[in-house]
Amino acid sequence: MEPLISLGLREPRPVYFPGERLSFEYQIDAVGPGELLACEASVLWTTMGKGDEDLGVHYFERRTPADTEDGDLRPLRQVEVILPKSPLSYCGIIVKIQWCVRVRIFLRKGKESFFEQPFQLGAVPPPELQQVRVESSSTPDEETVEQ
Amino acid sequence: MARLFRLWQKKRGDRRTGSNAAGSLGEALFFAVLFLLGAVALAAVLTSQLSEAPHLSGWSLWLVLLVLASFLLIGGAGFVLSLLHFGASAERRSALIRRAGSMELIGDGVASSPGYPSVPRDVDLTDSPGTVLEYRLPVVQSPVWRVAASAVFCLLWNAATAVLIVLALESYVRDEFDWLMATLAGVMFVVGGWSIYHFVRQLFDHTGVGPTSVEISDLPLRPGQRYEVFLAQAGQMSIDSLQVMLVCEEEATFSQGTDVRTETRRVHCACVLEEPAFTVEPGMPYERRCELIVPAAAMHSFRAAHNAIHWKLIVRGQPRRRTAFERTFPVIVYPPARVATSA
Amino acid sequence: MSIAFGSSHAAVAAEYRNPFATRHIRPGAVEFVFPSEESADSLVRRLEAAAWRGAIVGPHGSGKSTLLETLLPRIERRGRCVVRRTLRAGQRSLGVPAAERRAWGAATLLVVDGYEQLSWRSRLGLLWSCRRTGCGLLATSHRPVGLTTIFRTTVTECLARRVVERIAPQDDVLRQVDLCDLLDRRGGDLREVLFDLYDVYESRRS
Repeated sequence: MEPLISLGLREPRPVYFPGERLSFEYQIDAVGPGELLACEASVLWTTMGKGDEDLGVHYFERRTPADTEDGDLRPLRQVEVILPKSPLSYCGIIVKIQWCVRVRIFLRKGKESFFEQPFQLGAVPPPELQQVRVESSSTPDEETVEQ
Repeated sequence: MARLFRLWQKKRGDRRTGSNAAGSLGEALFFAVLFLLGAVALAAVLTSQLSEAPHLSGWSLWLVLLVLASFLLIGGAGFVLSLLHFGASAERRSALIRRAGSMELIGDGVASSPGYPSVPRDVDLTDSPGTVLEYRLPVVQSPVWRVAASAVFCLLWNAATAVLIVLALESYVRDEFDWLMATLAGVMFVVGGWSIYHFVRQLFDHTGVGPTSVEISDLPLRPGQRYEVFLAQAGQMSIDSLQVMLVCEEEATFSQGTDVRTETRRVHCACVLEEPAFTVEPGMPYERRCELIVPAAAMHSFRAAHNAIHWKLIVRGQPRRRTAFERTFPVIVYPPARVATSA
Repeated sequence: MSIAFGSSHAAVAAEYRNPFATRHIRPGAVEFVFPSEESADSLVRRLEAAAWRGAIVGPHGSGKSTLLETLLPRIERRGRCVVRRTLRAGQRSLGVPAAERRAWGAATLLVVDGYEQLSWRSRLGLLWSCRRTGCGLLATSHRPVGLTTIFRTTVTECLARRVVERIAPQDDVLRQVDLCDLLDRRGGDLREVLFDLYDVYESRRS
């Protein structure tokens, strides 16, 4: 059976602004306490779109059983983070920046699992589609493409 | 930096007289003639050595070859250098040198602005004070390398053509006319003529448009704010239209597998200034002030390893009877100043 | 408070979602679609029969890197130690230090993605190193490179349709485009076609 990661934003809002406090909590279920080797929680942004994915971590914590009193990483844990000034969430045409809270757990036998909860930082509206220019360079015989 | 040596110009102390353009053009022509003289003479000497009764031998042959080869090298290098300096002021040359630095502004290795992760630093934009407004923006694009490449091609091709022509004439003089060589020389002569035409046209397009200077009242830019922009276009030309645009582009690089593919998408383009036909006189740059409004909903500048959002001011002009020119001045837009107080 | 739960789930807000984004179409994110008579295992067997020296040949965007991603785990399961190098445009040498080359052995399989980029000198040096150490070599290239061709990647309309349906199974994007025409305009480059479909998806959003 797959482990279950419950992740929630406390007092969720449609939009968070830079400098605001983001509170979230997470809990691990459907797995024995001895199965969990480590648990990571992070607040990060990732890009998506036509380019390779970039990633920036704003907050990161890693906990192992040794970090807890009873050696159990499963119980509910709350985290608070002050959000940075940039980059703001952006749903562009070929570049998109999405913020999320990610919880990743590491299990025995090299298994791992994760869960994400996206949120919006800032209120930048999506742009209008205008022009495109593509430059490719994979081999010497490749040409520049104009659309 | 002042130039120490100059043909076609009189020197009086540190001040120089005469037409700067005529001086540069004369210099370029001098080196071109030197180059062609070296090429033709070298070809003639080499072909004469292949004949049954060579005119030169021993150390005199090597001396002549050395002198002619130096003509070739000095002429070629001097010609290209003259072109690079043609129509360019010391400031402009300095800007061209700094171009690499300003391109680093949007390059991979750039650190973020303090307190603003993933927003490129604006230090390279703010280190040059303006004469009218606070900052003078660096220009990032100049096609000078195209002119230089065209000049190199033109020189090499015409040198090779000159050699072939000499060889063809030599064979004619010896009553062993080589039709194949003559045909090849003819074809190369035509291509050589086209390369000269292409090069001269590029040179005029490049040097005919004087330097463009853009100054701005404040940096970095913030969404919803107003700024003053000062534009100065120098040179000697008639311009049918001139536009200044504020542009935002998304840039995504895909490098999976063996492909490296970069795509740019323009997501915002607003006209800041649109000027009808006007004439620029030498020493009297065309100057205009205008207002720049950054949209309140603008996304800020962003730079990561494979994705970026660039803001830039683009000056686009259409000179009369010449190719249009476009000059790009990058700017940095920061996120809105609003920061929550509820934290 | 809103709590969501799940496992191994990358959440993407609806307005950010595009099934043709790089994260979904990059090699490794999408499985290679084989013609009916072929499979990953049959190719691995063919490579093994060729003494672990072979090439995957095909044009741009035909899935060579994606096929590699599909094959490599199976090759590793057969006990081969995979050393992978991806060459970008203009990269004329492999850039592997001599010390590292000496560590290659009979169980090593060197995988060179973009083999045609290498200069003749680099190729000869590489082949010599492989012969000396007994190391295997699997290359991808646009043209045959003197190694046994274990598979030729080609893109047909049928295959492209299967790939698109696999990437966006619930989407009717294919009803909006003439896939055959797109493939034709892109010279059979499926990757470019998928990027075009990204744009179709985005334009539909607006």
